[in-house]
Amino acid sequence: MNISTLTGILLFIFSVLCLGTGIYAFRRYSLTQSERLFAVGLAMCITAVGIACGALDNLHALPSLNLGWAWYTGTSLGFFFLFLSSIMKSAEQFQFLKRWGIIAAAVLITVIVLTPVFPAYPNAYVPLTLNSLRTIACLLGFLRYVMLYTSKGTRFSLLMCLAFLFITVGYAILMPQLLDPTLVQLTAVGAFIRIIGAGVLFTAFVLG
Amino acid sequence: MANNEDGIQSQRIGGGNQQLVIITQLLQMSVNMRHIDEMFLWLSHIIGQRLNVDVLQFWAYQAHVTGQYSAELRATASQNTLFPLHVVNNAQVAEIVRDILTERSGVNPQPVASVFSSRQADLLARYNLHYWACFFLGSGELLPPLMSNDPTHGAIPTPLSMVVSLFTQQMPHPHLMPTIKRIMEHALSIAKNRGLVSSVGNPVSSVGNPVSSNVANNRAQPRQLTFNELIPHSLQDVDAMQADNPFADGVVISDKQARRLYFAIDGKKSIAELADSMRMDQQEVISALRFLLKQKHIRLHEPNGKVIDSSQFFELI
Repeated sequence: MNISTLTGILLFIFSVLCLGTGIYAFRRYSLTQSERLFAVGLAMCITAVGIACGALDNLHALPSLNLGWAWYTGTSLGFFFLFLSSIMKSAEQFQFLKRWGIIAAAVLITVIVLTPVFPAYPNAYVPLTLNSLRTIACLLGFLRYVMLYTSKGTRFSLLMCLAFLFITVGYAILMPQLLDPTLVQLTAVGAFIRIIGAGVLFTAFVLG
Repeated sequence: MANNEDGIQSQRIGGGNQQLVIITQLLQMSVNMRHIDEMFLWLSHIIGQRLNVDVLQFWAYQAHVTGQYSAELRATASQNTLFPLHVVNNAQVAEIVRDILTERSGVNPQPVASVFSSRQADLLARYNLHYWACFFLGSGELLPPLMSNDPTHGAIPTPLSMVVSLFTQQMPHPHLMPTIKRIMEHALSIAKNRGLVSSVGNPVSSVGNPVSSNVANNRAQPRQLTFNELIPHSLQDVDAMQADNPFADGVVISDKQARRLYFAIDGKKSIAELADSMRMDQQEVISALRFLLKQKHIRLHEPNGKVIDSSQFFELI
């Protein structure tokens, strides 16, 4: 099994964990009608779809398509909306987030549909920039939950803080590999760290 | 006078937006209003400014204990602060308005010379008020007597019959009158929610007021809090909620209206404001609040932050 295949499998597991969290959130939303749960569920589903595209890309399941665009779009938007859901307070703000979340989901679907026409990356700086965006989104989430943990001290905020930390590191570690493709082991290491982050995220929502 | 071609243009382009702006501001301002005349005065100024009406008057029928009716001027506003109000607040205009109140009709914009006597028309023309229009507003709500009235005048709460009278320098845009009428209709709805006007028959209970209020004599006694001014607070700490697991702390509320209301509560909006924003009527709001209070999801506060006893709420509605 080569590194790329291993990375693809790890990403697939990551995707399933995120999707599971998203589905669980929507189930709870159907009972409580809490807009916050809808926002969380949508963010996790967007992330899951994005990661699934990354998994397919690494497994070379569709070699003619550059699914990297969808991977970066889905993960950037998904984690950014998860961060936003932690700063919203009122019902109006969550409704606003819900509307924009639906728009973000539509954007991701559009990117996926247009994948056949997307070109390959013109240079290494394009994926580097795209990776930076999702790393920043996760970093924002980490910082937000650090603030919440230091002020409220809840188990949930601690677990979310750790989850975002792992995911941030998992994306940041890809930067050198994007500039130097020979450092291919970093993709597997990054995926593994992100899996741990996803597991902590899932634990936070289920047990936090 | 400030009315000019640009003014007409602003009426044409901004009518819908101005209506929204005025109503939005009124929702905020009305929280502190204690008498309907305060609302009329504020409205006359803001409508004059935003819709470029030179002079605006609110007239209303006033009933007396003797059985007689008179046309009372409730509010006047002029864009020109130096404008002498006796030019429009006089017996001539009052007589025309009284006829319109009796007929329950309105008058489309027309030159002042075709409505008023030549002497009055000349006086108005001297101050560049060349056109006049008015419309009638009526409803079953009781309008309290003038804020400035001495109770010994014998004025009593009167079913709302109003005329809104406008004086302008130039012919008003066709949309101006309907826009002002819509604003007034919304304003009266807000006034009803705030307890500034009451329903016929039972002024206290029809306002749904668990803390007693006395609309007809609100000048004689200090105004007491109305039900619609109370502010519901969620018993969940919003700040703590952000640090808690959303799956664990999701509140399950079986009643749909109560659930809608619960998620709209932000600890700042009063019951009246929540009802307005959720488009719920008085009965729906009371029913939803009763449900939420019984389930201990919320509590009620006075505007100054003091918590009120929920059992008091249940006894009084």
